[in-house]
Order: sequence, then C-alpha cells, then structure tokens
Amino acid sequence: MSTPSASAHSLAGRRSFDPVLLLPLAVVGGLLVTWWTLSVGVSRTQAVVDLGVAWTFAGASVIALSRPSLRRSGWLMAAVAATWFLYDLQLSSVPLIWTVGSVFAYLYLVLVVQLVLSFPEGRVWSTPARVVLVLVYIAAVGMPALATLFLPNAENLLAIDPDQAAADRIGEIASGLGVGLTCAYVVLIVHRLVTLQRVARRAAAPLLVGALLSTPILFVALVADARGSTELSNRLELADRLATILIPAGFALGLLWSRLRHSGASSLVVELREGGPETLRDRLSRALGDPTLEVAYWVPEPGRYVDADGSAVELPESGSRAVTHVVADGAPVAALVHDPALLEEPELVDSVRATAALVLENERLAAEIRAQLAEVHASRARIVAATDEERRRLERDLHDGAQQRLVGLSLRLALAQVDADSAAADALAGAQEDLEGALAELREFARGVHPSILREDGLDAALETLARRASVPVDVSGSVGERLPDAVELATYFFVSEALTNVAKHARASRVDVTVDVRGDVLRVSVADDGVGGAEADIGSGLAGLADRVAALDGTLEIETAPGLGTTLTATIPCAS
Amino acid sequence: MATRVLIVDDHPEFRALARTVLERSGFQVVGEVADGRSVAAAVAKERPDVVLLDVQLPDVNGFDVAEALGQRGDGPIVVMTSSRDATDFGSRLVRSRARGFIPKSRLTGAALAELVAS
Repeated sequence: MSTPSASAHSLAGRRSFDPVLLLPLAVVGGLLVTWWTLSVGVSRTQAVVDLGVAWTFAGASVIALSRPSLRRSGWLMAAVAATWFLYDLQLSSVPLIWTVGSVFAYLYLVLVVQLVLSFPEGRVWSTPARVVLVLVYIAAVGMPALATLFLPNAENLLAIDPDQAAADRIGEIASGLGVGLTCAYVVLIVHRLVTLQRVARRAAAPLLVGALLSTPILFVALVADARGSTELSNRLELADRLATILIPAGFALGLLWSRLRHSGASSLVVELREGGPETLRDRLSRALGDPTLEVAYWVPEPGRYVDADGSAVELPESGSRAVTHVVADGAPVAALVHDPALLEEPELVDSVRATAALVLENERLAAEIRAQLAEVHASRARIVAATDEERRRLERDLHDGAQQRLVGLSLRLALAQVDADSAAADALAGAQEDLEGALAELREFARGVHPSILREDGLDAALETLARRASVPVDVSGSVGERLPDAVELATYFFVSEALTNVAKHARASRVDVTVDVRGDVLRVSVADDGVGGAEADIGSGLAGLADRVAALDGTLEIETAPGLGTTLTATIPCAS
Repeated sequence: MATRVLIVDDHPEFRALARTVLERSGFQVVGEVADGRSVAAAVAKERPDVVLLDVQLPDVNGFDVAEALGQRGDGPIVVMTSSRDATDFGSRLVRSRARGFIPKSRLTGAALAELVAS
C-alpha cells in the first residue's frame, strides 16, 4: 500500500502578493534610513540596535504574512518595522520632517501594543483591550501631537504658543497615563494567557510572554519620565527599544517550538507499531495535543463518514471546529475534526497524518465493515416488517373477500332449506355443514397468516385465544400489560403458536405452561411442556424460521430439553420501541 | 308484536341477507347502519328491541359500541356477530354487556329468538 499523501487544507484564497518581496525592501530601506540617522548624529550603538530590531520585526512579518490566518498580525509587524525610525526624525533640521517626527515619534509603540493585544487573529481580543488600546493611542500619539503645539523649536511647524514648560507638563502627564496603561496592558496579557484554550495558547504564548518580559523597562522609563527625571528616562529609552525585540523573537521561537513538537509525532510511530489498549483516536489526540480530536472514517458505499463504531458522522461545516482530510491515492481515508487553532501548526498535523495514515486505513476498513453490518441488520428488520405487512394485508383481503362470500353462501343455503322439500332440504343441510367446515378451516388459515385479534386487543388477549384453542390444557401466566412494537408482538404470538403446535404433534404432554413478562426493555416468553422431551421432541422447521425472525429483532431463542423431562422453549426479545 | 331489530354491519351483502333471514322468521328489521358512529342516533330514532352488532366495524370496535348502548338502563338487547368465531374474542365477549354472540354463518331467526328470550 502506498504511503498516503497529505492533502493541503486551504483556508483563504490565492495570495496576490508574495510577502518575501518585503525582505529586500526592508534590507534596503533599513540601510538607507540608518545611513541617514548616522549622518544627523545618532550614536552607532543606537543605530545598530534600531536596525536590528526593525529587521527582526520585518523578518517576523514576512513569516507571519506567509500564513493566511496570521495575515493581519503580519501587517502590524511590518508597520512596526516601517514606523520604527520616526522617532529619529526629530534630529532633522528640515521643519516638515522634524514636525512629523515630533508627532509620530511613539507611533511604533502603539503599533506594538496593538500587535500584542490582537495576536494572533489580528483583531483586538476584547472590549477592555480595545479601551486600553484607544487610551494608548491618545497617550502615545495624541498627547505628543498636543505637546508639539507648545514646543519652541525652530523647526516646529505646528507651534502655536511656544512654551517649553507646558510641553514638558504634557509629556509628564502622558507618561503618567502610560504608567497606568502599562499595568493594564500587563493584566490583559496575563488574563489572555490564562483563559486561552490549550492549542490556541500554545500558538500565542511565546509572543505574549515576550511582550510581558519587555514591559518592565518601559514601565521604569515611563515612571522616570513622569516624575521629571529626563536623564534617566532617556538612558532607559534605548534599553526599552532593545527589549521590544523580545516580541518578534518570541513569535519566531514559538514557531520553532511547534516544529520541535514533531517529537510527539515520532513517538507516535513507535506506539502504533507496539499496539496496546489505547485507541487510535486517543493516541492521535495526544500526539497533536488536542483533547477534542475526533476521527471519522470514509465508507465508499454509500459515501459518507462514520465513527469507529460504524455509525454515521456529520462533518462540521466551519466555525468552531476544523477538519483535516487524510487521503490515499486520491481517495479519502479519514477526516480529523479538531480545534481550529491546530491549523497554526500545519507541520505537526501533516507529520501526524502521514504517520497514522496506515493505521487509519486499517481502522477505516474495520469501520466500513461495521457500517455494512449495521446496514444488513437494518435491512433484515425491514424485510421482517415488510412480510408482516404483507400478512396483514392477506388476512384483511381474506376477511373482506372470501370469508364474507362464504358466510353469505351459508345464509343463502339456510334460507333455501326453508322453502325446499325434505330431500332437497337434507341435501342443502349437508352442503351447509361442509361449508361450515370450510369456513372453520379458512378462519384457522387466516389466524396462521396474521392474527387480527393481536392488533385489536393486544398480546395478552391473543395468547389467551391460543391457549383456549390448543388441544392440550394450557395455562398462561404473567402478562405484558402495555402495547409493544408490532414486530415484537407478532414474533411472540407466532413463537407461542408454533411451540404449541409442536407440543400437540410430538410431545405427548398433559399440560403446557406459558409464561410471559416484560422486565426493563426485554420481553421473555417461555413454553414448557411435561411431555417426552429429548430427541423425540422433534423441533420442527417452523421454529427454525422463527429463530431468524427473533434474531432480526436482536432476540435469542433457547431450547431446554431432556428425555422424559419435557421441553422448554424460551424466547428473549428486546422491545425498546 | 314483532320484535324490532336494528342491523349494524359494514358489509351491505350481509345486511341484505340478514334482513331476509330475520324477516322470514317474523322479525321486523327497522333499520340498517354501516358504522359505529351512526348507531346511537339510529337507536334513538327507531327504538329497536334488539341490535345485531358486528364486532369488526370500520371506525370503532363493536364491543365499545355495545358498552355505550348498555350504559342506558332501558337500552336495546345487543347481540354480537362476526365472521370470526367466539373463541377469537374470549373474555372480551364474556365481560361485555352483550346478551350473546351468533357467528354470521349460523344466523337464523330461531337462534336470535333463543338469545332474546333467555
């Protein structure tokens, strides 16, 4: 059997733009900007740090953009890299450049916060997070813009009322706000880490932890700035910008970590060969780290998915569950239904899928057989029901047709006798006797086809009539009480009827005991005679047919017999309707 | 005075034959009814002495009709009939308010008169 190939699971449509194109842009752009910042007086250390961090963000954005589900986060990372150097524009002597730098110096910081608070979907997690983000926009962009109105620098195009002290005050307020927002930021991240589900947490944790680790320095810098110690805060700024590298580094490490999870897949190979009591589903679930995993197998006839027991399964369309198909030679083998966050780790899913494919194919075959058995079982029950319906119709036709005519004929013969002379009257009387005999036989025949009393008055009444008509004394004990499914009642009636017939024919018994009861969802009926028993109690072919009927209802037939000790026939039929 | 009989059966051929048989024996057939629903109205209108009632009616069970008729103390005598024989009904027949049972094929004026007189 050839190794099944993994089939691609496509989410979004075609990519119209290859993110790798961003790399040369980032390299060239970064070098150009760094050359410019060095020319306006930035220290070498800072230039190197800034270039390094910006390139790290650019690299992370390329990786993120190549995965459709991380697209938005990827663009945010690229935006951070692009706006990283706006801070240095304040070193320019060109008024426009200086002013832009003064207003947007900390835009990179806001974008970092937005990246973290919306990772990995790209949409901000919750309303509290959205509120914090808006306040960060105000503190990091709004308030510097406001402060710019008061800065007395010559290059300032937006100066309304040059007042350094006012600008400083605004800066301190912004930093004070920043301190509070940093605390809220930390609380949000910790809350997010704690409440995420297993698989999603695995995907997001490295970046979130990186964000947490990078905040202490920011916190201290903001506190220093708020309290007016600009010296300290300036020195800490560089360290803070460097610390921001922990975020894209965390992201990249997280991806590396998921690749390392392949060790889970290789231990799966060993386990599957050794066998053991754990089910395939449990092992796959452990290898993938998804406790909610479900496995469905493909059955080509009639073309649907079933679970390990053979019962039909509906694959979820979309939304809270994701589906990964396992395919061999173009034909579906199985479908894995799992937490959608696993789609972040396609390498893991692919390796598990390839490893387990052989075993999945075996399980699929077993499930297919079980499904076929279930179908056979159902069809057998349908056949029994169809023949019962046929019998009912036959009996109905007999009753409404032939029986009515013969009854009418009998009455006409009786009428004719009144007007006839004695010789003719004798002949007619003889004819009527014969007719009564025929009618009796017809009634007996109809009862054997389908006992109408069963449908009208229930099983207890029908058994009572069987007892009364039997040639041997029959005692019926126990009762059914309620109505049971038609097939069960009919099977029980025919069982007792056939058993009594056998007793009359072979057993040479003096009495028969019929007991019937329903306990739980199971009907038990037994016919016990005190006849000869043993091999002489010839069990007829009628009982063989009955065994099939009972088996189609998932019931059992037992025979207990010994020479001289009589025979007991017992049928057990489940009757959950 | 002739005994008044109401025939209740869903087979028109049987109703016609029963009418002939009973009228030949001196009964007066005052009406024919083909289903259980119409029995009460016919009994109220014709006030028969005897109702010859088929067990197998299309809409209700004949025994249920017998119960309903027997509940009024001054109701008619009810005699059940059927193409099936008495052993098919067993205890239901014994427990019912009907005076007795005559298989359809053995319906004669004499048999009915015997039941009515008992």
